[in-house]
Parts: sequence; C-alpha cells; structure tokens
Amino acid sequence: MYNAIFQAIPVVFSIKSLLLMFLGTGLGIAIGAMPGLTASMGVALLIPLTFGMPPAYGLVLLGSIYCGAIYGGSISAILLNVPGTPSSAATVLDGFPMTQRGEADKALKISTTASFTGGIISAFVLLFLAPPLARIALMFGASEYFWLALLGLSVIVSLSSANVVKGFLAAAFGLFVGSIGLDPLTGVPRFTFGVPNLLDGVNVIVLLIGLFSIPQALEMIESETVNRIPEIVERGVACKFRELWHEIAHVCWPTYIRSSILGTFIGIIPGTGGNVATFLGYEQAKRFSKHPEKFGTGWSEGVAGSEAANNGVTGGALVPLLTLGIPGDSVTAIMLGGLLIHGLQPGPRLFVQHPDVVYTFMVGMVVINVVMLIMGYFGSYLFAKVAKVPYSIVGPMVIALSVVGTYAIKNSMFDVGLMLFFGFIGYIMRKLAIPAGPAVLALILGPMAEENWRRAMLISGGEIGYMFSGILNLVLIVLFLLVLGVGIATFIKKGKRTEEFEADA
Amino acid sequence: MIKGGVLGMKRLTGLVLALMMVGLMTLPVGAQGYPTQPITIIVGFGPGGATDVLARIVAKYSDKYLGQPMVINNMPGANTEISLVALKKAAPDGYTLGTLNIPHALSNILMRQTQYAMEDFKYLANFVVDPGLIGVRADDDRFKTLDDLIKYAKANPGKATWATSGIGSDDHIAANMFEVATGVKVRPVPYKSDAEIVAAVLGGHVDVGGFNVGNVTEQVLAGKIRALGVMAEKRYPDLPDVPTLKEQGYDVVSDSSRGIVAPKGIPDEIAQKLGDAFRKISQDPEFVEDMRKSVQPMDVKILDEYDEYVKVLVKRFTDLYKANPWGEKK
Repeated sequence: MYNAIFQAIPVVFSIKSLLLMFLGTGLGIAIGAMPGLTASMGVALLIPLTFGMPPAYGLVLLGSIYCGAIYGGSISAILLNVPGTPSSAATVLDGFPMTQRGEADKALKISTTASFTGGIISAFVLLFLAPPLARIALMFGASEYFWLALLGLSVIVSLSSANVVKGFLAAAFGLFVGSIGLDPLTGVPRFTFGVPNLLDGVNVIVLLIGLFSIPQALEMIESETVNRIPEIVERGVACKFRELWHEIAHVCWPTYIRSSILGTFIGIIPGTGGNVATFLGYEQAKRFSKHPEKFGTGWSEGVAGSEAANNGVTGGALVPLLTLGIPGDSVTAIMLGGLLIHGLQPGPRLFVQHPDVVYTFMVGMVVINVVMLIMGYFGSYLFAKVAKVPYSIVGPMVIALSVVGTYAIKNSMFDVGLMLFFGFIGYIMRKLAIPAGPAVLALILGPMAEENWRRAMLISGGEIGYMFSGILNLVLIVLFLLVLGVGIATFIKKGKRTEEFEADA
Repeated sequence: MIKGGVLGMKRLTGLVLALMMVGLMTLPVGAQGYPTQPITIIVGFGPGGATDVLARIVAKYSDKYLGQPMVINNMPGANTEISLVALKKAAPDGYTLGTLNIPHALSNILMRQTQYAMEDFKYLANFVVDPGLIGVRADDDRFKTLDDLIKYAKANPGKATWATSGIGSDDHIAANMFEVATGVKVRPVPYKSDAEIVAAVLGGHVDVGGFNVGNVTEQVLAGKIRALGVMAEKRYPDLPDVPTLKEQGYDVVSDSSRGIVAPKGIPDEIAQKLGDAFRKISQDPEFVEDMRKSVQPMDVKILDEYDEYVKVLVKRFTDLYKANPWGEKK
C-alpha cells in the first residue's frame, strides 16, 4: 500500500493535477454556493469533460467538484440564510445570525476550517482504513436503516427548541410530502392526482429551495433595509487568524473532531449523505457543547458541527464505492457512472486491477482538501462582500437562481412550479415562526423510515423481533432514545422559552 | 480562480441554453442534408446510471458517423415515463431521440395508466440486452447450486427472500418467471437500485439477489457473489462457467434492454439514415471496447429487427402479466 501511495504522489502533485484541483474546487464552490445547484449536479455536469482525460485526472477533477460543492453550500447558508445544497441545511441556523452580527467573515472561516477538518480526516480514513471500514456499509439492513432514520428524525426536537409543537408541525408537513409518489414497495401511486411528474415523489431540493430561498428573498425585499445595508453588517470586518485560532482552540475543536468522524461514518453507510450529516452534526455539536443555549443565536460551534460533518461524508462515501462498488451517497452514485465510462469497473477488484488510479484518487482527495482550505480561507473575505450587497439586488437574484437551480435538477418546469408553491407555503410558515428545517429533514428521513420498516416486515414475515435483533439495532435504538429523551428533558426543564432563534430555522 | 469558475459556469449554462433553443427552433426540414444540427437524446434516467452511460458512449461516436454531435438531456422520473412522454411530444424530425428501456416502458403500461403507448415510437436501434442473473452470497452454504435454492424454496414456500429493483422491474418479473417455471414460491423484496441489492446480498440481509449481468459480473469475478444461473439463451462470455437457467431445465429468459427510439412519424429516410449510422457505430471496434469496459452486454437490433423484438416482448410480458400479475392496475 505504501508503495502505491508513494507512486501516486508525483502524479497528484503534477502541475496538471494541481491545476485541475484548483479549477474543480473553484467550480465546485461556485456550484455549491448557488441555491439548487448541488454536488451531484456538478459532478454529473463535469463527467463528459473527463472523457478526454486519463481516468486518474478525471477522478481528481470530480473529487474536487464534490468537496468544493459540499463546502460551497455553506457560503450562501451563512451569507444569505439560503442553504446552497441540502448538505448545508443546518448551517443556516447559526451561520446567518453571525452574518447579521457583522461576523460573516468569521463564520465563513469557521465553515472553511471545519469543512477542511471533516474532509481531511475522512480522506485519511479513506486512504488508510477503507477495506476494514467497508464492512460497516454492509451491516445496515432494513431494520438498521429504520432505526437510523428514526435517530435522525429525533433531531427535530433540538432543531425546534423554541417551540417543539411548531417543529413537529413542520415535520408532519415534511412527512406528508414524503408520502407523495409511487409506494416504494407495491408501486401504487399515492397523492399523485394522476400527474406523472409526481410519481417519483418530491425531490428534497425542490422543497429545500421552496422553504428556504423564496421566503428569504421575499423577506429581504420587504425588509426596511432593502436599499441600504444594516450598519452592523456594513462595518463587518475581516476575521484575523488569531481570532479564528482562539475560537477553534477554546471553543470549537472538539466539535470539529466529533463531527468529522460522525460525518465519515454517515458517508460510509450507503444511502445516507451530507443531507443527513448536516443535521446530525449540528445536533451532536449542541448536545456536547458547554453552551447549548447559545445555539441558534450565531454560535460558531453550530456552523462547525454541520460543516465538519457534511465534508466528512466526502471521503466516507468513497469507502464503499472504491472497495465494494457500492456508492455511499448520491454524489458517489453518479461517480460510479464516471468510473464505468472510463472503463474502471467498480467492485472489489478495483484496488487490484487499477491501483494506480485508485491511489492517485485517494491521495488526491487529501490534497484537494488542502486546496479547498486555501481557496476558502483566502476567498472568504471576497465572499463576505455578498453580505454587503443591498437586499434589493440580492433578493431578486436569489429568486432567479432558485428557478434555474430547480429546473436544472431534472430539466423539469413542473419542479419549478412545485418549488414556487412550496415557496408560498414557506413564506406563510416563516410568518408563523414555523421552522423549515424539520420539514426538510422529515422529507429526507420519513420515506427512508417507512420504506425500511415495511421492507423489514416483508423480509421477516411480520416478525417484530427482527427489528430488535443484533447488536447494531440495539445500539441505534439506545442512541435514538437518548437523543429523544435528552431533547424532551431539556424542553421540559426550560419550560417556555421565547422564540428567539425560531425564525432563523 | 473562483471568479473564473463562475464565469465558466455561466458560459457552460449559456451554451446549454443555446443548444436547447436550437433544438426548439427546428424547422421541418427534409432528409436532405440531415443532420444539419446537433441531435438531442432524452435519457429516462439521471446521470451515472447504465442507460445514461450508454447514451453518452453512443453520443461520443455521433460526430464521426453522423457529422453532428449528440446532446444528452436527462429527464428522469416515473420509471422513464417522463422522458417517453417528452419524446412522444417532440417534433418527429430526427433531431430529438430518446432512450427506451424494456421492461420499464412496458411494465408501466401493464401496471398503471400511462400517457404514452409502445406504438408512439419508431424503433431505431437496440444496443444492449442485459440478461438477468440469480446470485447469492459466495459463502452462503445453503445455496451452492440452483437446485439447492429450489429445494429450499419447496421445503419453505415463500420464505426465501429475493431482492429486486422494485415492482415491475426486470428483476421482479424474473422472480415471477422463476416461480412460474419452477413451481416454487419466493418472497420478492423490492429495493430502489441495483447497488442496494448488491449491498443487501453481500450483507446477508436477503437470501437471493435478482441481478443483471452488467451490474454483478465484477462481484462474481471477485468471488463475493455466487452466480446460480443466467437468464439468457446462451452463457455470458465474461462468465463462461455460469450455466443458463435453460441448461438447468427451466425456461426462464429475462433481461433488461436499452435502445434508442424516435417519435412516431419521423421521415423514413431519416430513420434509415439513423439506423445505418447506429449500425456503423455498433461495429466500430472502439465502440465495442467502450461498451465492454462499461459492462454493457451488446445485442444490436436495428429498425425492423428492433421493432420485431419489441413486439415479441410485448406479447411475452402481457401473457405473463395475465398469468401472474404484479402490482395493481389503477
């Protein structure tokens, strides 16, 4: 293995490869930052461009897009309160309040360093521990996925700490939206009203953009400061390295590490990716924080918790793809096609048959994260300027980008209409201080829970004991009860809290 | 750098938009000089899937044999219905073509009301026939051969779990055919993708996987999955040791096929020209190598031959559905 790594190093550090990394990461950041354009879309768009390249370079380019886009999603989340990709859905909770306090640059640098930590840890895990960890990917059967989905759903409690009832209301809406489409097991259409476009259900991105971007844009336009920048934001200054270091060393570093590892594991589990990691990472940061009460008010640990976890997914999701031929998330599922086009058949023999390509890619992932750190760190002052553009310009741009981004998912005008419809609902929800996060989370995890419960019942022949068999099920159940229990306990203890950070959710 | 990225993105988007507009403004031109502009291929699945990979490989050779590039337009949804309806509505001028997957396209019609029919298309070229394969985990000692599986299923009716890629998919229909041919009952468990089936079988969460040669050959060659039989007329060249079900005495032939079709009403000369070009592409050694490397088992049928093939399949599936229906007709 070390031999292969040493052989990969000159290729990875060749001018061509470094150029591709900078290009890919930059493009990825731009794609991620635009609401609606996601990492999967970026990778899909770039696959044809890799045709003419040697496979190793092509993969390095795709990997750069992947890492860049997952990180890039945090930029619009922090600056505009609009997650650029579903993977940054929880970043808005603390990122945007920081911007409103004039700390945009600091929030971006926290996000950059957290993303880097998540990315580099997962890249090293990929490089050194891929074969043993690949087993985890196979441990998850229907019952395990069900409990995992439930564990994820229990985060709703902490996402809506101001008013749990409103949080559950939003979640119920998300669950309903998740039940639209063909029944996952019997193929019977549900709530589709004879519209073929609804047969596949509602894409998470459509709901995400509808509930986050449109209400935010409308709110910007109707705001009193539509034509001028609030003074506090205007005065916002660059975050010095010392200040950032102080924040990391004294507050954030345990969150960086925990979220990175958590994200890596979520990446390894097939079918779960950044969109789950962002929520679980946030939850975990809050759970272990010394100041959980500050979450939602612009607390850097919140940004770090979400962002370290979602970039942790990148290396993790490549573990089962490269070792077993099973993609770990939706982006690596598209990379699988990219591998095939280059004649690299994904499967257990990939390492044996193409060690040069695989190791170049894996070592490349490490370097890509360094490139991302450099670009993000030095770019953040530039990005932060977006916060200083008047709302009268940013608002309409957000709407325009939302329409383009939604269309781009499936080249479907129907989705654009649906997105605008959700935008209307989202606007009402925001006026009623109903958080949008739980709705998105419920749409991601509700169908996963339903499908796997029913699949488990099918496999076991209706035997309920199947749900509790095996150590992994029990671990997941205990975790689920813990998160739920602690969440409820905190809620009761606090009694009524003012809805100070409700509106930002 | 970042600015450059944004600009590049914009340019790319602009290019895509321009190409789409060109597609929209197509005037009714005769076959004379066809094609004079890029050809759009509507793909019924998202990027990265086997159908998308096929379309992109074909597109790679379009310039060489048709003198114009092909543009891929992914329109996933409703088990390819979204793309087929879009194709049906497109002008039949040869500038908009689409992928057609069987049994998906056929299965939809049998199971629910659809906004297209098999007669809405002109069948140009089928490129791939990907045979079904029955596989179990390599270390599962209960099922060393197909007969072991059948014996087990006889002793435990409806107990052997059989992962498929969903109701109405070829894997599901294959399980159905298997039941009819052997007289045993299994328990089909629908999953959403082939990768999920591989994970479920490797993880020991289900007993049997309904695979296709294309997505499981690597796992079989790596010794992770034991192939009990191929559902084709003859053995698959890359898996010469795996017998067909027919050899083992069961008349089960099931596969997933992928081809390219046009909206009905396309001028005969254009259809002929496309058919000829696709035939030449399919004979290009580089193309054959690309297809082999991306595990797309080729079985090329051009124009009339493709049309005949579809007719046979329509009859086969309709009969099967009548005998042993799956899903529910709305």
